[in-house]
Amino acid sequence: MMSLNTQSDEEPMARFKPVGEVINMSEKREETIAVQPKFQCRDVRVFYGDNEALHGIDIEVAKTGVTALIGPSGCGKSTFLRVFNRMNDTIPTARVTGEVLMDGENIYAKHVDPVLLRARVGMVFQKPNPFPKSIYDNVAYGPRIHGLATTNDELDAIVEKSLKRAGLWNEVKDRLKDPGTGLSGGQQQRLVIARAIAVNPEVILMDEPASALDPIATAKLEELIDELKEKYCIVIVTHSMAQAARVSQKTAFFHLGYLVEYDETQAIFTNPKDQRTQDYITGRTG
Amino acid sequence: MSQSTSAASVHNSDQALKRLKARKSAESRFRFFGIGAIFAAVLMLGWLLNSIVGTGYTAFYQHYMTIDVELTESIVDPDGVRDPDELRKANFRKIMQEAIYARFPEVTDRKEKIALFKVISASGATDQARQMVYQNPSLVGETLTLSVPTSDDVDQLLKGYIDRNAPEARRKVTDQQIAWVDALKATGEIKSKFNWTFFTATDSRDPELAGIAGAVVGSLMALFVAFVVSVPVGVGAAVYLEEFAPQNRFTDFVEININNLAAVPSIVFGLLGLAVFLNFFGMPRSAPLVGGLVLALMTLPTIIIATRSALRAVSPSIVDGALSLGASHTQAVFHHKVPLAAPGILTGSIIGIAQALGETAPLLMIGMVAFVTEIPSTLTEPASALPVQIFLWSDSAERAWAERTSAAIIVLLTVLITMNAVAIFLRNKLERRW
Amino acid sequence: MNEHIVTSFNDVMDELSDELVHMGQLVRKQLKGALKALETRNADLAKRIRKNDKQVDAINDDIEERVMNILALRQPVAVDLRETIAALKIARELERIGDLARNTAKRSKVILEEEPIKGMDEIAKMGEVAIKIVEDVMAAYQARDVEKAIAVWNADEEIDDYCNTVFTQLLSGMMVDNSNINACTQMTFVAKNLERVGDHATNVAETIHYVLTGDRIDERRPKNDKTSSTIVEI
Repeated sequence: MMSLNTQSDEEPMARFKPVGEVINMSEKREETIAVQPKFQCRDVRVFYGDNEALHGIDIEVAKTGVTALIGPSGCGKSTFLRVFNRMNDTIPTARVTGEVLMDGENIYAKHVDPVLLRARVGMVFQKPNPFPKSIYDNVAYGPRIHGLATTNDELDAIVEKSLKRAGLWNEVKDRLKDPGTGLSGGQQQRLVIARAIAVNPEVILMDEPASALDPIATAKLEELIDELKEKYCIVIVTHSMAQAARVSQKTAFFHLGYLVEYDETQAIFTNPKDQRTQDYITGRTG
Repeated sequence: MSQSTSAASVHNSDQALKRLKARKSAESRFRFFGIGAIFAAVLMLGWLLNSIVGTGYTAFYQHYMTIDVELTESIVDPDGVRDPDELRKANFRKIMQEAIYARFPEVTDRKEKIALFKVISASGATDQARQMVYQNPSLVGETLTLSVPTSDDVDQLLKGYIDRNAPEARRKVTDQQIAWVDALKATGEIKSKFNWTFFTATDSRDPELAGIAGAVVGSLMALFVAFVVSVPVGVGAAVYLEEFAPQNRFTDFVEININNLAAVPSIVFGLLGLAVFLNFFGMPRSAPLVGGLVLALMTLPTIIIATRSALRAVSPSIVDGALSLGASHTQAVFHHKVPLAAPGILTGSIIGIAQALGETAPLLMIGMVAFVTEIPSTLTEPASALPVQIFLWSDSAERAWAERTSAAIIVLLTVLITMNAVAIFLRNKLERRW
Repeated sequence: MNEHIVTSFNDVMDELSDELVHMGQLVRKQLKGALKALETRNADLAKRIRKNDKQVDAINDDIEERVMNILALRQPVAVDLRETIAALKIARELERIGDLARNTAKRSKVILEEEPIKGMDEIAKMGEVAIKIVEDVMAAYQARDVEKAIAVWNADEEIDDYCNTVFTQLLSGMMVDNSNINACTQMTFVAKNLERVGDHATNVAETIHYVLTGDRIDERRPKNDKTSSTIVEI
């Protein structure tokens, strides 16, 4: 009948996992640091003209998993996100100082071409921004410009794989020629992720990817992020602390251009070390 | 502020109702003004169109007289050699005179005969006979039934523009001519027909023979040149300025000048064309090529401004998306931004070109105002243009020119409206509603 | 019952539930062991049971930590919220049952020093009922079966009845023969422990009922508190 009743008394207590293995934060933390990080930022400062928006950020981002950047509006979290793929370069007045090492190499070094960097570091924006082309062409665009496929069959395969990985294949496989902008908001956002994946990046940056989505679409997106984090380094900026808590393993709290606290997400949301973090996540300050 | 008045009472009091009433009457006042303004605009436009169409529509038909013409060999070909070149020089005027005298044998007086001949268009009728014989010399000696245009005065009389009750001395047709015309009209020998001549002929001294074909072809050629020159140059300049030009004093200066250029009076562009294309480069006067180049210069600022605003209207998120995938700036612009701006660019270009179509002043400066009786076949031949033709005709004295001027305006407006409609159609079609 | 779009949410909820079931098994085993030690007069077993209680406490801490993380990171609502809070409450009840098992084992030390007492059979039977109740209530939890939970909740009366009987027996035994009065006194506490186990199991049943229906069980409770009346009689 019940598994309870059928168990013999003599069964050893081996099933019980000591608490420490599951929960002990300090052990896990050491583990993460031991692995070579994807990004190492040293004294990163971003200027808009003469205005310093980020004041010397030092942070390490793990090879896989989700890192959430949270903080009030204007705290510099989106600016910092755009440091990783040099999107700040597109703003004429923006200037970045300090070092951002990706796998040990400074991406702000002179010889690094931002165009190639962005192929390695994909990005998903706040508003779903599929190109006004077909679903297929949206996903195929990146591989086409980078010459990742030599034949149409190869391209088809990349498109299919990317859409599958983005969890969109079953929804769109019969209408790949339909416009990408005809999809729902959540589907569009997953299409944009598929588009980024198609270039075969190592990192996916997400700038408030769920802020325009309804709760179900958000849940689907978060489920996708959960799956992708096994393979990719994901950095996500979010206004929703709940979302940061749900999807990320590490959370960085930014305030007024400073990195206030950076820790395991569980630690940040159950026992933040800094008073400012505590005040922000508990809704005690703007 | 005292807190004694509660929120409810603030919005329920008599004062509140008064305020509401004042607000509502302000609203209805505004609505009244708006409707009034639109009504005035529609009235003016209606008046304009009415006066133009009212004057012009009669030019689209013309009275023709059916007449038997005997191609007497002794007059046409006294030597009997049937040489077409010689036949062309023959006295067809005499032939036509004989033909109409034969229709009214009772007229014998020389003065009356002259008046009788004035019923038909002398040059129109003789040219028609001449052409037929030239093309087919075997017709000499035969009797043909021709439909020849009546003279412009007779035409105007039959269209009702000449007052029959006015004293004979003060009208262009005599009582006798009226009698003849009425007789011919009664027998059906004078009939009203669609005026194909207006569309197939070039300018002429005689209103009944004048047409707009030469001007239309000249205008189309000039527009073609203007389009081919101004669209690539304008779009290229706009894309560069908007996307690639560095932000510095020089580009600011260029930008300001482009905006100023759009406001420069068109006659100044004409002067520029005169100075640069004719005097400096030595291009031919009155040529559609030069006209087109001048119009292109004039259209450039419009196209640049339209293109830049179309580019600016493209959502930056699309460009961000492309950049974030590793597209270069140029790729992002040409793969995404320009295609998305294309409908706006096209609309701007068509409207700019349509404006150019209506321009007269710059064409006057470069000599496209000449009296041209040939349809131009190359870009360097002298040509007229539709608005210039209108300008020329509007200056002429005869009553028949007035209706032709209006008719030409109708044609010009039709072309303009068609071009704008095409622009709207293309925008709607190309602007993919993704 | 967990069909969240986000599978990792399903996972943490399932893990929490599994952990609780596991804790129930451990507690049941502790209880059974303590009673067996008494019955078979096995001092070593009693000692082991006392030591093992630390594990029960550790699982309780673990569940608390899990619940806290779920609350902080997932912000559960509705049935998820009831599940999460219920896990915390059930773990607490189970931990108490574990404590009672340990206490029973502890008391067996004194009991085993004296001669076997009369009425041990009744105690053993009562213990079996208590174990059965713990089993049943955890089965109800695992199966998310509200009817089973209500059955457990009603079965508490049986333990109360046993408790009355055992009390009367022990008291009369002590009056007749005061040689093993120490053991008998400890035994009354054991009986009381078992009665408390029933109470905790009842609380678990109530919690399960709340999780599954969203309503408190109290409204349906037949007011018939025999336990108090029995105790007053003695």
